[in-house]
Amino acid sequence: MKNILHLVHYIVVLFVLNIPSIENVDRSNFKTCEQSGFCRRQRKYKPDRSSYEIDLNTIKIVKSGHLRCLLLDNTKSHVKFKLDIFTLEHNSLRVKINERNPIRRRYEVKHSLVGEPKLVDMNITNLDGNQIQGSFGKAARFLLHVKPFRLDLFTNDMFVMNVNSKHLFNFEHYRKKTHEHATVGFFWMNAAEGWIDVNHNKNLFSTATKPITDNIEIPEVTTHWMFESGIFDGFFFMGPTPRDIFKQYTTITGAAPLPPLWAIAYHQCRWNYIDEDDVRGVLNGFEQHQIPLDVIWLDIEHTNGKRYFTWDLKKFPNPEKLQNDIAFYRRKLVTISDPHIKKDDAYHIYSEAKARGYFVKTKDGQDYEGSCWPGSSMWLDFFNPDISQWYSQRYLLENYKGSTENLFLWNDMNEPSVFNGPEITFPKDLVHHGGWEDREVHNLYGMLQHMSTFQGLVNRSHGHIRPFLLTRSFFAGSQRTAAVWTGDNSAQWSHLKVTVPMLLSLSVTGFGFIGADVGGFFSNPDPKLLVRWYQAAAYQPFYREHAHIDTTRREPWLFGNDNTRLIRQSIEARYTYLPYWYTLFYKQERQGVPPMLPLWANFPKDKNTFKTEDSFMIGNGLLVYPVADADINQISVYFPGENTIWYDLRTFNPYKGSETVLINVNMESIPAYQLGGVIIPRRLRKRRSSMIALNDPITLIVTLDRYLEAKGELYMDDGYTYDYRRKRQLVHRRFIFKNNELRSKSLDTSSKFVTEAWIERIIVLGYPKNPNKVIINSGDKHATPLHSYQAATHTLVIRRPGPLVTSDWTLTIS
Amino acid sequence: MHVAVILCSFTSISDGNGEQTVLRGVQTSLLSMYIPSKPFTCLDGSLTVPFEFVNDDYCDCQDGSDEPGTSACSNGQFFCENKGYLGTLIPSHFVGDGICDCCDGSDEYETTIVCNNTCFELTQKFQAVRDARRTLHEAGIAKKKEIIAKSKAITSERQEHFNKLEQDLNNLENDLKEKEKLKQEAEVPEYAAKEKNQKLWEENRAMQQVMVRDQQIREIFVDLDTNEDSLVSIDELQKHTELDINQENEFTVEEVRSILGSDSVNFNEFNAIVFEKISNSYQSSPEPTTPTLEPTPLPEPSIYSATTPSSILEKHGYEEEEVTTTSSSYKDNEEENNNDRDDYHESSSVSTSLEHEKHIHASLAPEYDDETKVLIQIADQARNEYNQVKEKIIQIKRQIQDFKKQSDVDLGPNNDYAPILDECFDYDEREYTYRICMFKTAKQISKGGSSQVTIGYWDSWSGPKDDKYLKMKYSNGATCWNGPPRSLTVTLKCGTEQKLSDVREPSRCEYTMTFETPLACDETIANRSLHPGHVEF
Repeated sequence: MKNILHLVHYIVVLFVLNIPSIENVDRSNFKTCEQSGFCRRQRKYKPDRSSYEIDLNTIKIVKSGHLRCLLLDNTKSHVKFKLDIFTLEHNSLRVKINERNPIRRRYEVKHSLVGEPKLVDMNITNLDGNQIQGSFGKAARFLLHVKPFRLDLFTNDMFVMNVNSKHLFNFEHYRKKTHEHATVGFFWMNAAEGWIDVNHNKNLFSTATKPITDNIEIPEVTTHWMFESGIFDGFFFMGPTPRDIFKQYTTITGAAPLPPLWAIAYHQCRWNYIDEDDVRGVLNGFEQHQIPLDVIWLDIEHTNGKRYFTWDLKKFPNPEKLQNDIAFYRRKLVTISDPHIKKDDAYHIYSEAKARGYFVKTKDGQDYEGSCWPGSSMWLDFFNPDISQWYSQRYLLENYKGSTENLFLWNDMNEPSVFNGPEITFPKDLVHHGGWEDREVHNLYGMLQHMSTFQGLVNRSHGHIRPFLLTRSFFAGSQRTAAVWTGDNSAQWSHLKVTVPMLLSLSVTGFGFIGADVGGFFSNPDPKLLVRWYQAAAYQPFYREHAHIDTTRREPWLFGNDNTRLIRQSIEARYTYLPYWYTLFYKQERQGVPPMLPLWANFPKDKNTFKTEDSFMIGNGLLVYPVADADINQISVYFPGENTIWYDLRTFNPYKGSETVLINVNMESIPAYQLGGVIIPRRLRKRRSSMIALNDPITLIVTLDRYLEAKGELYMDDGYTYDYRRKRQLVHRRFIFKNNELRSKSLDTSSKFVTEAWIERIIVLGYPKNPNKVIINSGDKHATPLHSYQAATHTLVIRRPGPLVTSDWTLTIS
Repeated sequence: MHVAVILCSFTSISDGNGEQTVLRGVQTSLLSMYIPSKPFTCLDGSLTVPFEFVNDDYCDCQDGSDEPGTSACSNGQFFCENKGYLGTLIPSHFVGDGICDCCDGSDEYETTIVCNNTCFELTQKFQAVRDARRTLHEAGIAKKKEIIAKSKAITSERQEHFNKLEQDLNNLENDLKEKEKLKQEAEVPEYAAKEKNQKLWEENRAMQQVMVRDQQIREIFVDLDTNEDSLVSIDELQKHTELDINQENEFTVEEVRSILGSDSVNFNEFNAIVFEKISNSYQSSPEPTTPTLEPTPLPEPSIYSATTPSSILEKHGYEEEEVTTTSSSYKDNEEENNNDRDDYHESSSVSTSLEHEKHIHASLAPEYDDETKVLIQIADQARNEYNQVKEKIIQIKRQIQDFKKQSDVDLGPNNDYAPILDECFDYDEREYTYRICMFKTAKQISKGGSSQVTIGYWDSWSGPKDDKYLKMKYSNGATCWNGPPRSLTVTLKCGTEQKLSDVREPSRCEYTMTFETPLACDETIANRSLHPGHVEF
């Protein structure tokens, strides 16, 4: 039950977060349904009986997997609708409803989709005059009721969802009973302003920024979707597991690609590092305090008067040299590039775009002018492919003066933010390419910008180097080209806490590369909060410290030696897990499973996990309970799953699953637990940056389950190019521990990647006794590495087993 | 993560490392701890391992001491020999990371990259930097000596001045005692004479009041006695309906009689019985316009009111200022003045119905006799002199206080910074001029001069514990919009002249300045002798 809910709800979040949020979180800033005419009308609309019915005579199979018929409104005989049902691969279903002869055409979103979804055959049976049944995929089935119109969905003969259109844009969604064995999802593809009422039990939620607390006893959930324009275009994902849903959703909208390795390491940002000296000073600080760092960022002040693609040459007289110096430790620079273009004839981007007529127009056909950081500005119309292409070319090295291949991008304010606009964004009647009003396409704007940026970065290296790019505005499909952060948060404990549900919401909607500003963007965190934030974010996908220009400096070493040490430890911990993170990001690209997951995604049968939002999982192996309270000595940790074992990674203490345990914590604690049955690759050696560590040896942490078994994976490549795709230069290993043997074999035999990386250590937790001997065989070579055993914690450490990561080997314990 | 384990089985590992490699990265001073023929004990004593475990690219010791020459431990230290330059310690995780950290390249022995030996260049550079620094400090020290001499002079001058002030104060205080005595002596006869005068005057005034009242009663009697028969009869009084207590009814004969007590009264009876009853409501007849008995709004300034306004005005400054009013020879005591004010208000409330009061008061100026006047003059003189001394004492105390406040400011070691106390320095930047007035304030003045903002007031020396005089803190400047009060940290740097050389704002409203001064130059650096061709580390 819960699972359904989350997915639907999370999709909701996807839309809500597109509302511009330049201010601190203040709920009163959000527009409510009551403030919007169409929503107020729709919400009031509650007929006893649906007036829609299917015209049986019009039913036809357009092609295999595509059924079409007419839908009639018997109260208004002249209004006719086209109903299209598509049965898709991976047990998914698409339903489109559009007016047959609309007065004005309705906008259909296309940018969210990877391509035309692949159809699968449907087997139609006409049960009686009032019902049509279609079977498809793996035990999936829909039942179309003719009069009144209703659509029921089943998997494995179990009723899962239902659409009952009382009005064209009324959508309802039911579950009849609680079931832990099935998860379903719904994706509503529409770029207009909208609200979704989620009604479960008696609670009505009209906005979705607050995580929904579910009541398991009352299973029925109704959602009511009210959108200003566009068509009904819904995708139904039939599951049955959460991982199936991720696959089904990302098959349609695309999976987040593998980021460069350095992008999942630590980022240091501030509005603003003032000048080259300042940047160098901060880099020196990281050297001096031996804190690993991969990326340093420049916010808007680095430009010449907020003219993007330019530099304030008084502060940054030699940006190429700066980037080369940063690259000395294989680090990168990220600069900001917002979509508002300063109105200034002397600014080359403006004058060229102006001359070519590239700006978004008012309803009278004039270039729309609004205000943002640079003052009077105009906005490029990315809906025009020519403009998108032109914009992407601005990122080429020859066009973006002062940029090098070590520079990557940040697209902010792209909702877009318009300081003097209604609701701080575009007026709804602005006109985009193709004559579409902004109201039809609004939520796509940010995505179109960052898609162009991404393309520019790909082209910059002729398709060789993977881009990195961060965006604030996003839409379904944004995950294909950008990382996302949760926007302008504040240095408050409550904001630290809410990062978990916010990031999980993004995660399950396909955005895997996500993070929140460490420390809180607005105001000054006290050192404890800052440390706790560093600790929590060390286990979240995108790890960046960022602060507002009005805050005091916040570099990790400014809060006394103890706090510097704690922050250093958090960042070091992150770096030790990079091999695991990188493997998970690769799996996301391949299978659509995000690296950060809610507990229920791994334990869909454990009802206790359905409400959890104070903890999360990384992959299927790590459970993390960040400490998010100021003064706390104990936290209550629930270990999910029946018959599971969890190992504390600092003490090696085991805990039993399905139990809640009070755990003592101090400022050093980052409560994290590895699931028994999992093998996690780590890199325990320290380096200044992730790219320097590329060939460093790997330690395998093997935590055994109750059958004394475990398995895991390791993915590696060069960390920054597309050679893993184009030349198959990658390593993808599977490790299986079973019957006292640990085996490494390739999951991708066609792959070839040369690395000196070797296995330097294997730590087996939960091994029952001190073995006599450990032997390792690799091809015709064999060795007997030393081992040690700690009986108190059942910990076996194998010293220097030695094989190359790329080789097949078997380790035998006897 | 460290795995503290006790190894339970050892097999010997031989990878053919020569001694050179085995001891790679060990600092010279610790070589005695690494003896290839003996097991190695981690430097923190936590574990003993076979010597083969040293530099075998696996971290055994929690302190990283078994792997000085590899990157296996996150917390180890690698010793760069750097022949021809300084031997330096670098974190052992710098070893083999593809970056040349040692100038002799010894940290990159295992990587394919080629490190140029930069030790010679570095030595030259080091020498050049050191020489330049020495030269600077040398030049600075010469200037510093001048400044210190100046500061000594200033300090002793100031001390002298202070001593003189203390001496002056002492003298004045003695003088004050003298003057106080004289004042008291002059005030005794003055007081007695004034008392005598006052008493005479009060008696006189009482007599006058009786006469005035009698006159007034007579006037009323005559006014009432319209038939001029020297009697006031019922019908004569009855015309004065304002005397009717019960205004609603007619003024009856009975009512009139109850006032008169009989059918008619003569003057004596009127005086004794009737006047008191009617004096409050009586109004004179309209036609004969003899005396007007309309209530007067406020009395004319009385003798008391002549002094009170000034004492009210001066009340606030009184305690500190010790205002002396030589003209008003009596009542220089605040409490008395307050009493006077009360009298004043009282008299204004009783004098509402009878205008005659004003005549009484008007004639009340106490005219002292000549003898008393002389005594007052003498006492005034004594008071005046006393007050003048007192005023001087206040001024001198103020100076002493200011001086002490300044002395509380820490002007650096041996008050070296005394010469720049209050001195101001400017730094011009694109938009602003920054001005610091040492040990006072720092300001940001916009170019064009339209506005200036205080970015901090002198707070304290704020250098690190062992070098407190390296930095100055100015705090509590104007509060930023949406932020904290502005503040400034000034870092002192050796220079041959005193000037601001850099101003920055690393965080919003937190400024930093660099102040060059010979006072920050270091004699030990300046005196370091040059040995050409020989590097001294």
